[in-house]
Amino acid sequence: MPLVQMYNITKEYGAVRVLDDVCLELERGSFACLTGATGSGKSTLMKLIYMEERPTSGQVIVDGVQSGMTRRREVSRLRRRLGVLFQDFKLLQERTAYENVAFALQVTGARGREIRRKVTWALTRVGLGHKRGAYPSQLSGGEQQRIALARALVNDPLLLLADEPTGNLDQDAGTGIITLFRQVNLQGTAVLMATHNLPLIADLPVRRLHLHDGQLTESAPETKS
Amino acid sequence: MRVAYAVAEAFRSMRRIPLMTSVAVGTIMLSLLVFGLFVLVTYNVRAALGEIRSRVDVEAFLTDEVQDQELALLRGRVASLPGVESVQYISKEQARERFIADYGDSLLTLLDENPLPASLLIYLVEERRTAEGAESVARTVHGMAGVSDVASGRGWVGEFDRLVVALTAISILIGLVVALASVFVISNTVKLTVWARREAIAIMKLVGATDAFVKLPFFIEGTLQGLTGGILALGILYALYGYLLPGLAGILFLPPAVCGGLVLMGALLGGIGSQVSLKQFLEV
Repeated sequence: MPLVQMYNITKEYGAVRVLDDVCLELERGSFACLTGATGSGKSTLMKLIYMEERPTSGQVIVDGVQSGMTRRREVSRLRRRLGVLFQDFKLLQERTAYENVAFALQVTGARGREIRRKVTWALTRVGLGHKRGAYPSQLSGGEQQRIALARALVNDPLLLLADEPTGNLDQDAGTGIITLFRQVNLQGTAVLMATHNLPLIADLPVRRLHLHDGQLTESAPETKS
Repeated sequence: MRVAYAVAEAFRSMRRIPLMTSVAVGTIMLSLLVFGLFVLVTYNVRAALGEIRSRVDVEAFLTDEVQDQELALLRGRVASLPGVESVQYISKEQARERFIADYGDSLLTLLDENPLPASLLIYLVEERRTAEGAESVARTVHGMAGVSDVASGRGWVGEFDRLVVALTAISILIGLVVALASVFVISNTVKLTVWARREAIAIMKLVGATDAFVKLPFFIEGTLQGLTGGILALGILYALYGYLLPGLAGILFLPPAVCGGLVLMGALLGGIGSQVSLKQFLEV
């Protein structure tokens, strides 16, 4: 069974239809990029997957959890199996890098020893083990994004949802994040990345999804000649 | 782990925004202080009533013609009435001595003979020491042979009963107003705290925190603030009692159970108030 199933999804905000009869399946361990202009509904599609939003019509099923019949507690449990990465990082400014990552484990009721082990592993994985005591304001944009990525990965998620993860980063930092995504994906985590930075993903041999006027289309990955 | 985390979060939040913490604690303290003062007054009035009621009795004045044998019979009949605890005979001579003790002997020396009647002082069992209880016994005794008149303190006992009912009602009303006002102010104070932490709450929700997990630190925070407010209110109440009321002999402080109740009420108000305003921020 696919990890994500979206059937005939329509999403409206008042009179504005953001998504129009969208269908999508994402397999476990897959990698897909979602492109589209600002305001095309990329973030809305992401939010439907981690169920911050519910569809106006249609059905979303993520790892067996159905959008229409799900209780809030089940949504919470589902989110523990997902990792979400935001364009603005959403780090807590008054907490250190370590505490920000540990936060995602504390809410699951993990024990202290387990938290220490997993947070250390996640920080090392994103190459920031030496910055564990730094506050977000003491880190560069790229470093903050990597801390946010460590937080998204610390629960070893089935799916990493990244909403414009390179939007606030320079070319090098952006490339570093994409490299990390590929490593994560190779270890079994499915990745869905929304971006409008087309040159950055030009060489990626992954699924291409495109949103335009609320319609979702798919194109084959470009291949270098 | 979960509770330890929630307690740590609650203290972290209180340290981070000490002004809001002070406002919440101060509000609960003032509310409970006003309420506590009224409870103290009501408690003392009720205690005073209990003391006065213990003195409620009925006195049956006898005609001079009553002979010893009739007296013994009458005394037995009165003593066997329901609600009567004991009966004491006051002879004419004892009545004279009581009068002189209360008012001096200047009036009685003007008279050749003792005009005061003998009487039966009727003590009532505790549950009948009310206006109605005294009235009922007085009515029965009044119809007995050898009794010329009956006196009871039913008039002022009735007044006192009404005063206590009114004071108790006022205390309950103030308690309700205090409870509602406290919940309102605390929920608004917490709303400010929650507003300041709305992003953290949203992040918690997005990484999979349940509503209960998000609520717990706020509940602990509100309860601790309420508990602190309650303890401070009790302390100030005791200080007022100790330093401002020493001239009023016989005033009692609240019993331990009521003191505990007051502190518990603070904790409860704090806890409830903290949850009222959280709901809208959990819709993530």
